[in-house]
Amino acid sequence: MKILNAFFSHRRVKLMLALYADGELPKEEVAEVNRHLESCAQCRQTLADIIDCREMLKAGTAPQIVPTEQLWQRIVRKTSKPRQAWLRPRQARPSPREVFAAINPPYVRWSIAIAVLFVSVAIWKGTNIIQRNEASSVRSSAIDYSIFLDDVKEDFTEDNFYKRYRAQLVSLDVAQQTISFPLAAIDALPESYRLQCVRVFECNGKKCIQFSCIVDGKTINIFQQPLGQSWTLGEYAVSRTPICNVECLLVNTTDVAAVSWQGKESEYLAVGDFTPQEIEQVVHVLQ
Amino acid sequence: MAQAQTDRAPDLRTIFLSHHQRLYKLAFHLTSSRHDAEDVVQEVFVRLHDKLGQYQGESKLSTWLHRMTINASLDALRRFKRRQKWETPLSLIVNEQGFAKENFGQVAHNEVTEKLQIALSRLRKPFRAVIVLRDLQGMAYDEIAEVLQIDKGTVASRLHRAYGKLKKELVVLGIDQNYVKS
Repeated sequence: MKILNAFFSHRRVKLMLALYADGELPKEEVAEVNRHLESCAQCRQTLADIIDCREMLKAGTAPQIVPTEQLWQRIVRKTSKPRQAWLRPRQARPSPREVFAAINPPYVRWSIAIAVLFVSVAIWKGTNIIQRNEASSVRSSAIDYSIFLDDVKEDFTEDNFYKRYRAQLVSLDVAQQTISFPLAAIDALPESYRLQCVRVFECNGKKCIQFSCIVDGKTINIFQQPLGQSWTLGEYAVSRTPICNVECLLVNTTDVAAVSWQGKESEYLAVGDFTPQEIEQVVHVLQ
Repeated sequence: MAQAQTDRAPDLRTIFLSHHQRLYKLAFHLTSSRHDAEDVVQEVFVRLHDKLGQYQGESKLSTWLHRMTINASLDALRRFKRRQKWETPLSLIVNEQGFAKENFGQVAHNEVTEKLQIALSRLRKPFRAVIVLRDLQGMAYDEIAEVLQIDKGTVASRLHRAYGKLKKELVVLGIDQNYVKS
């Protein structure tokens, strides 16, 4: 238990170091950090690195020459351009009815009207067919991750999700046989990328969503699962991987890491990314 | 800004004069390009001009301007990536010295500045943004949280990671304290 406490204290302190270096921590936490720093060489090194980076940024950033007048002139040109053509005085135009009435003889007038009607109906039908084709191609093509996340943030229920994004339900066993888990590749994901596939499968009795995308020719799978009551969409990447010969479920992300062990439901164990040594430590404690 | 609108006191020119330097520097550090930084600042003030009448005043003017600058800078970076995609592969082969000279030729005092900017430009956007706002703009954690619309804890954790990554990049580029002092 002591080891586990020390482990979590280390992770907590690590995240407080930037605040500590800035003197923005409350007194009680400063005392905790000081205590921890006395015994932890790794955190002392991290703190030294932070201070180093700051000093280098301060010393090495040259004063910028800001082209004030040039910029202002650009803004003035842009904002004073007459952009609204519709503000110009309009010339009186004959109304469509007047134009129609002016066509003579009357049978030419009515022939034109019928032809226009036929053409309009044909165009309307054609547009409908194109739209239908486009809709089906959008559904089958890749999903834009940022638009997807916006959709999810705005209005997300499980039903909506399945309506909007066709999902394929597979069992975890099947998923494990067909899917690889490149953790490093997930970390290296760009901000915005296109998803090639969305699948849903069962994991620990709960539905997980798997997103796949291809970056630089490599297939990357990201797993989202509900932790507790809330869906961890866009926040966590989950994978099942053997560590120290024990199969663990890892949620490895930029901000939060969680582990579930031997099929037990995962819960937050720590904040931050685990190094392989830290993972070993956790597994050792759990064993 | 709501105040600006009602009082009619600070017009666009006054707002520009009091904020453009900080915004230009922010855009420059995020985009690593003088041209893009100028475009970004222009875009922000043109938008401000258009929206002066609509703004509801939910946030401070400077927060709004910083947020707009960050968004416009990220858009500029996205456009840059798209441009890169359509350029010939040969034109993409730009050595870092050339890149630095082209972009910081007039402003860089020395190699350290260039290398620091290269290291910053190699960080992912969220990490670059927190470092630039904290260390180069001198913003408080609460302000950064407001500008980026994240909570203070996330600012701290992003900063922690950002320094780690920056340090690694600086090591790769061969910069340390002694190098800076020399």
